[in-house]
Amino acid sequence: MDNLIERLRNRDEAAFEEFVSQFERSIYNLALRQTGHPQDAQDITQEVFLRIYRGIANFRADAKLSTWVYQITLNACVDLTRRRVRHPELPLVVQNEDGDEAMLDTPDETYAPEPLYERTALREQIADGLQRLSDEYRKILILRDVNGLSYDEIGQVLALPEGTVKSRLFRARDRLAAILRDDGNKNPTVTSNQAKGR
Amino acid sequence: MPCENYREMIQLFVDDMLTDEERDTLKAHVLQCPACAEYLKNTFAVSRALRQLNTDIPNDLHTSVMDALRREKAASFAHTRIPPEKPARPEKRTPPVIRFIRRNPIVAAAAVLVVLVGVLYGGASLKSSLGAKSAAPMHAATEEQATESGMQAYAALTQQPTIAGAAATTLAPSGNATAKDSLSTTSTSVTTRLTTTAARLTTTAAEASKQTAAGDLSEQLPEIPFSQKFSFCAVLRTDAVPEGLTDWKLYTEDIFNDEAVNIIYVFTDRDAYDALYKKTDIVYEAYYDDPKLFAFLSPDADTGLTIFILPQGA
Repeated sequence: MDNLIERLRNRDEAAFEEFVSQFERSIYNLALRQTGHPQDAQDITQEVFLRIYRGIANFRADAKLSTWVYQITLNACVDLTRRRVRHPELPLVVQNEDGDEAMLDTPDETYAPEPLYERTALREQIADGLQRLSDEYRKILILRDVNGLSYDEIGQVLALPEGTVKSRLFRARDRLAAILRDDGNKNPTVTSNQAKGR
Repeated sequence: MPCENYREMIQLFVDDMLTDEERDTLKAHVLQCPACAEYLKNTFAVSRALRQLNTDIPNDLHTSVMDALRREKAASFAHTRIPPEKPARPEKRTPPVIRFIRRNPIVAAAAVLVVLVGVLYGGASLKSSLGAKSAAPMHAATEEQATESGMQAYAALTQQPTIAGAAATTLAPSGNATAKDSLSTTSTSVTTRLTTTAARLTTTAAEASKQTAAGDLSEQLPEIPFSQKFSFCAVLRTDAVPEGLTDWKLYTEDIFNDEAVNIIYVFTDRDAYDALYKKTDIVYEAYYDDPKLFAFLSPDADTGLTIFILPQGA
């Protein structure tokens, strides 16, 4: 890894090719689940690699490269959200009765839909449930369960002690399970696909 | 110890962070505490479903990132001050053939002429001489593809429904029969796949039942990663939906090996289902999501969910 960082600092194109291949999926998935939009996730992924290209000279040798990458990705997601707040074109973020952030359920025609395999009912439910969590809960769930980071790595990315990582992660899972359970109770037909299948 | 403490252990168990000793302690509690058993299944299902959200990147993302980095590099070498790069939207690339024709119009025109002459003067005789030869190999290839499709279907069955299996176990609500009629018509290719898969599974059905009776599945499970199995699965031949089985409905559509299929799930008690199963020749095989979890909850805890995978016939 040290060698890779050195090569990245020297603007070695093969090193960047290797680096992009290594991290593009993680960055894209983190951005996709943070923003909820494939096109935003693509834009953020590209933006993250450009920031890394510009900032690699300042990267501290004692830090972990992956930690830095995830931090930059989360920052890029925040920047995008701020831009959207100034120029809203996405569903508005509101507070629900629990004080958690939730997205207003308004369709966004700006973005192309995800591929068919992405639109299966359960994935929609889970992805939708993620968007209705608070930012803190959503981040930690994505880092742990979607991106597969360890407690220790999550602690480094979010600058949290391990105990806080665990308690927040556990609460986040409970909260998501509760959202999904509530949705199931409100909508016993489960999916619109059922109607199609009749 | 209060249940609250076990809940934390359950979370750690889901993250595979318990020692063997702690796991034994938790197991002893969960086996006699239905609320904690339910909590374990819910937590496991949520975590599993989230993991399944990790998707491939779009096809053109890698290229657009590398192009952006090259532009950045070129700009920095030129020591020119450039405005901040806007993330590029995926571009439509001109197909290579069109690019070639634009660059070499004369060569392209000559090539078209040669092809036309070839078609006019040589096509008919070539076609007649090849026609007889090609029939037999094509038939052989079709059979080979059918076998391969069956294998792929088998592989797909062991992979994709993990989310549905795990999460529907605890999160999806129950309902009444709805979509049975819609599944009566099916595509030939998918039927071939499932029939081939069915043949494979038939041979193992008896073994699976014996394993269940013995209560020791973990050592005899097929050699596929645990993460790619699902809680419980029954595969039906397309013509073998049992008459008396009504408590099922379409859960979702999904794509396995580029093939659209319907997943339906059943909320019926296991005994009733088994009675039907024994009366019909449903091809049947049980996979257990995770032998670790299965052993943990005991076989009885696995009842309640069955996933059928059928071709999309509606």
